[in-house]
Amino acid sequence: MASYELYRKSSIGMSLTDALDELVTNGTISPLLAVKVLMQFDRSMNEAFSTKVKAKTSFKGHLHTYRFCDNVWTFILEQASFKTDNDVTAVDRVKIVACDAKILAR
Amino acid sequence: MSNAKQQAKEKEMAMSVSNVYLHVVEDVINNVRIDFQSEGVDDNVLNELQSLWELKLVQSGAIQDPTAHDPLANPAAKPIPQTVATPVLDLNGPYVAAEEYETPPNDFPRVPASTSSREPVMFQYMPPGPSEESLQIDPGQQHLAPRIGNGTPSSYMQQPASWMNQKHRGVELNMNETYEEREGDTDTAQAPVAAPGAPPITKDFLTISTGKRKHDEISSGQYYIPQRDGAVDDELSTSMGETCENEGREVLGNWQAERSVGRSEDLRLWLQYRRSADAAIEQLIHAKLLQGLSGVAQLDGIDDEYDDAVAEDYNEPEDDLPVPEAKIAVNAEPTESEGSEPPLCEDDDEDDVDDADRGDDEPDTNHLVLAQFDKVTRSKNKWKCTLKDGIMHLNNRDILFVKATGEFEF
Repeated sequence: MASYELYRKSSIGMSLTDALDELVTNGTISPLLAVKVLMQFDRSMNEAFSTKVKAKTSFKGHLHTYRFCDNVWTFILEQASFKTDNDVTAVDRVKIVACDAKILAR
Repeated sequence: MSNAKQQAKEKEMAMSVSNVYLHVVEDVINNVRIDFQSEGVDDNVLNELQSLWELKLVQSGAIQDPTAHDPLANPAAKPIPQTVATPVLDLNGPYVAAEEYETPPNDFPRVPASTSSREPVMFQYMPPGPSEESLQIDPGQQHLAPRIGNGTPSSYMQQPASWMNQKHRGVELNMNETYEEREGDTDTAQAPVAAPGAPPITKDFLTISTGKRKHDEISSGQYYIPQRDGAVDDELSTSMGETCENEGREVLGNWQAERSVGRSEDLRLWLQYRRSADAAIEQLIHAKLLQGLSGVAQLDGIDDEYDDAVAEDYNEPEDDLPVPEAKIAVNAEPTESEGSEPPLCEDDDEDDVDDADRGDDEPDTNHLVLAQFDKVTRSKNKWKCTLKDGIMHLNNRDILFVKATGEFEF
């Protein structure tokens, strides 16, 4: 019943991880419970994408590095520009990590 | 006007991102409440977790409104999906799926470089040189001299046979004596009178068969090493050389067995000659490589001599053909510039790719996009990909998307 743990590296995921770490270090909750919370977070994130998010983006850039290992693509782009709803964001270097969307289980 | 509009739009987007995040927070908290209760943990702890989490979210700039956890602000946050049944996904487990982009298996056509086999063989035949001398000392075999002395290509085809026969008879001679008596007269094809210091007749024919390399060795150390590993270097005498070498091989092998018995003081000289033969062989090999085309191009990966001069690219099936030419071109080039290469070490890696700490703390470092890919394709150096369900963290801002398309050039 698990999902990709990909989103734990996002801001919201890291915030949750930090908060859980604090509580576990204090001994307030057990590590097992923290793991369960994270797993629930994975599920909730994935579900939120299918219901709450509507935006589409396009991006361009120069590919500096590409890697495909364990079914995960990692790109490092330079001088990239991301366009979302007439909003353009330019960055000089960005890392893109993408897991396979086509896993049947998902 | 447009600026204000844009700012308003950004704010709206940020608000919606905050909304999504807060929705996720609510969702998670509601779902783990049961787990907390089953573990016997108080609800206070759960509330504490929630507030900690939201605090950190605000601190990181992901959500703007610290009071957003008010249930009234999130009308859609209440329904708890009980039937989310995403099956177990083990990222590390075996997964087989039809991929748009398959990484072709590394293809290493193994073409053994012909040059490499020569070297070790050479050293085994150091000693045989003076063996020919022994023939002349043996009175019973002196009659051999005039016959072999011709040295011309046409005649020495016959000589090896007779010479080999003689050789077998003379195997038990003591090589040490003959070794000291050598005068170093090398590559002449004169008719050798059966004198101790005369150049070995057999040496001449072996010289011819193996081409100029043998001249180098002979001149350097009064020795020659017959080639036993196949086609000779010198195209002129290919067929003859092979035949002679084939026959010479067994004889020399016998001789070597005998020779190894009494080799004490010869060892030093032997090593010395070994080194000079080494150098001569290296020269020849390099010369051959620089010519390039007569040898066999190495197709099987990193060039053996120059560690990091060639860029490897084995994932592109259509690039297999251009690779050999590129390698040959590169072989010729770095000869001068990379004479003494330090061994490979970890510092050779490009450090700027995955560097965790980039020196000073820049505020917008590590722009990151986490998503799932639907399709990744490449055509020459043009890449296209379609992603879905992603979080982008750019310029300290979070942007979510359901679908993204990217085009980049490598």
